Amino acid sequence: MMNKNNSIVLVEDDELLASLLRYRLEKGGYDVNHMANGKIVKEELPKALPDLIVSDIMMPYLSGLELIDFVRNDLKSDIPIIIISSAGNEENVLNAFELGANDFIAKPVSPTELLVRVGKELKKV
Amino acid sequence: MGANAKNKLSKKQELAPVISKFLFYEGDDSSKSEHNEYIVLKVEIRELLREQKNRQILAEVLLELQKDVSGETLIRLQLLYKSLGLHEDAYKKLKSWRWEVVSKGILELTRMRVEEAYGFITPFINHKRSVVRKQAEIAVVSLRQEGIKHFLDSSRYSVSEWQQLKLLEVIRNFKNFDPPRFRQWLVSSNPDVVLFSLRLIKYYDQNDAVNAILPLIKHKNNEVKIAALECIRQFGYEEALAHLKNIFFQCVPDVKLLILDTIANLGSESDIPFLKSIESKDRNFTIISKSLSAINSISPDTVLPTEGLDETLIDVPDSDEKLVETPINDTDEEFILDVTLDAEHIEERNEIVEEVIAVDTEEMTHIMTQTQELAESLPKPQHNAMSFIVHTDEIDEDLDTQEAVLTENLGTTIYPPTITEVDEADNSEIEEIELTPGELVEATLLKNLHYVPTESIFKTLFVNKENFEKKLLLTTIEFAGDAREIPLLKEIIANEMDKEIKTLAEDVLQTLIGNDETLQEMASRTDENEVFQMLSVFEKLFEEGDKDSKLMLLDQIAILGDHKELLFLNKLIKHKDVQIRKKVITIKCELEAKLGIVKTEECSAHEDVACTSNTSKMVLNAAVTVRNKQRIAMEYAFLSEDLIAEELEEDIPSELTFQLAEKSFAIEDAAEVDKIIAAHRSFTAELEGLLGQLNALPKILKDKFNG
Repeated sequence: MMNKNNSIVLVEDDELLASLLRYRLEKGGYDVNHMANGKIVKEELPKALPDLIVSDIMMPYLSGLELIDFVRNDLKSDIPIIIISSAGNEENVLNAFELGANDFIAKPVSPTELLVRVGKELKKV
Repeated sequence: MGANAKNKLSKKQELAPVISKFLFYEGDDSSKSEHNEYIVLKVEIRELLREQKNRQILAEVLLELQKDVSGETLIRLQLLYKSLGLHEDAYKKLKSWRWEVVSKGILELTRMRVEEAYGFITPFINHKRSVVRKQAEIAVVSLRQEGIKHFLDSSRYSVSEWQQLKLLEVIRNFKNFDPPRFRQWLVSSNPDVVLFSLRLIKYYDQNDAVNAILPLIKHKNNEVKIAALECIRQFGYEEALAHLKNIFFQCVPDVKLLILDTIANLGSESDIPFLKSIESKDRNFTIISKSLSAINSISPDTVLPTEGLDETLIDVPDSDEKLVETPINDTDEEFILDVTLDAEHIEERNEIVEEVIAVDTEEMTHIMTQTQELAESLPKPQHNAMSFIVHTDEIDEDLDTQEAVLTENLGTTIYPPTITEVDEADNSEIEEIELTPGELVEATLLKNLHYVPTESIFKTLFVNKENFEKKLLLTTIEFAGDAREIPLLKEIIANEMDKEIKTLAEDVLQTLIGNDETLQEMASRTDENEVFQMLSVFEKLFEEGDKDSKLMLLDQIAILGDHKELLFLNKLIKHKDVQIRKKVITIKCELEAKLGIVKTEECSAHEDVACTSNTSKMVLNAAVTVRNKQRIAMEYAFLSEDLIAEELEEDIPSELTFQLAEKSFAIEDAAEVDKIIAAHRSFTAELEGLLGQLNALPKILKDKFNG
């Protein structure tokens, strides 16, 4: 379906949802690396940057907002970041965009919609 | 985490990819290998579901995922739930005798949108458990569009505001929802159904329902009334105005405000007389204000400000560029303290400070005594308890005229202020005087001496108020006021310029006083402080107690009472209860004897006439002696307690120790002292036990004793 070489880091602490999204993205043709929390992200991301990050906002150890800040300021990377946030959490979403997020998708998530958004962001790169 | 939970979690993690494969299986579009894998998985999962435990875990996983996914994936997930037959388990839950299991079953079927469950769930709408009921209401309304009709038709229980919001949220999110004509439920016997229907009518703009809504403005339930009014206002139903005016004066304030709001929106000039009549007929400030603003909404600038305007101000044309002197406001403050110091004054001040520090204790005592005497001879403040007035001709010229100045807090920073005095009689004459130390101390003392903490709470509210607010306050005093308001009312009668307010104040005063002799006497006094001093603390307690407690209180009056209580006792002499009446006469005699108004013998003689024949002088004298001792013992007990409290703070005041020694000396027999103290304590305990409402009595008595 899409470029098979594109790698995605999926940061989501809910194992069930992560499994579902991972399966959908993999089925869409991406290499997906799931990281359950921000701590792992901080350790793993500097080693090899993916083509795109999909991250939840509310997570243990490191919030989605801190993750954006980490990627943009510490890693000095401009890889696309898509944020997943609960519906109605407008303030967080605005903050995420301010910090440098590229797109946003609200929970409950439509995996198909996420797939479309990922493809769109990667096309821009 | 327990072993069970761990097993469950690992099972969930194991099942999650399987579910994902099922959910995203493309059917005919998938490859052959994918199709084969799907068939194998289906067989595996059927095998897995033979175990009840696995069925439960799978249902839980699907329910969890249902919360986080939307769109096509959600629909597939709900289909998967049904195709795996998990809804059958939920049906079984509905049959459980445990209400929480039933509730879970309903929730599961609602979330997975098992439409077939609609018929099974509807009976639960009137379940005795509110949790089940609420769950069923949401389920019925969610599962089918006609669910809302069934709910409104059959709901017999109350529906909370929150539940109404949740139900509205459900039907609001229906795609292609065709709302029924909700007016058909306005006749429901369930007021919450009527209320919810009114809200739905308003939400869906069903303005053809106005004729059915109109009668509801007379509904007993105010919420229904308000919802009906909101609909009328929203739909602009002008024909309703006449009805609204008819019911206006019988409504509660909230409804009145809404009616006024509706009239303001829909009304015309013809409604203005009605709105004007509210000012004279209604006493509620907010309603009167709202009616005035409604008048202005209908006809702008009809009501213009008339209150609180300065009549002396005149319009001066722009061309007249005359300099107008700003008048000195000489009525607001009696004194203007000038603390601006120049170099000369600073030097002078330093000298004064040295002099003041040199003043020894004896001299200070002398000054204080003189000041106190002077304070009594000086006029008392008329309005603000914190202000003070000094008339130069009344200051004792013999007082020390040195330029030392003391502040309230002796021994701290000291300034030599010049005080500008304003003669009340002649405002044009402003004289600057410098106060002597004595005068300053006196001024300071005066400030504190005349502070009356028990004054009417309405006093400060009354100042600088507009007429309608004054009327409102006076009405409030009439209903809620007591003897404390007498001085204020007298002050209003004496000083008020507005005749109407003055007459109203007189009426209120008359209502407050009534036929009460004590109050009549209080009203005849000119000194405000004197009036407050006439209030006995026992009066309130006496009113609230039963007969036994009244008799006990009378004993306490004999021990602790003073002149205030005599007035109170005078009032009680005509008490309807013979026993209380007799006791009052005895206690009054004792109190008069204690206060030195009459001698004990005279009292006894008088007592002989008043009391029954078997009350001998000897018994009466003995009672007086015992009470005197009781009083001393109580004072002793209170002082002991105070001393203990002070010792705990590691600061024993010499005065307290002295007072204690004095009381101890007054009771000659130590054993008798102990006996009396013990009797007093048991009396207090008994009093507390018997009279719950008087449990604060010891504290009140103690506070009273301590002044």
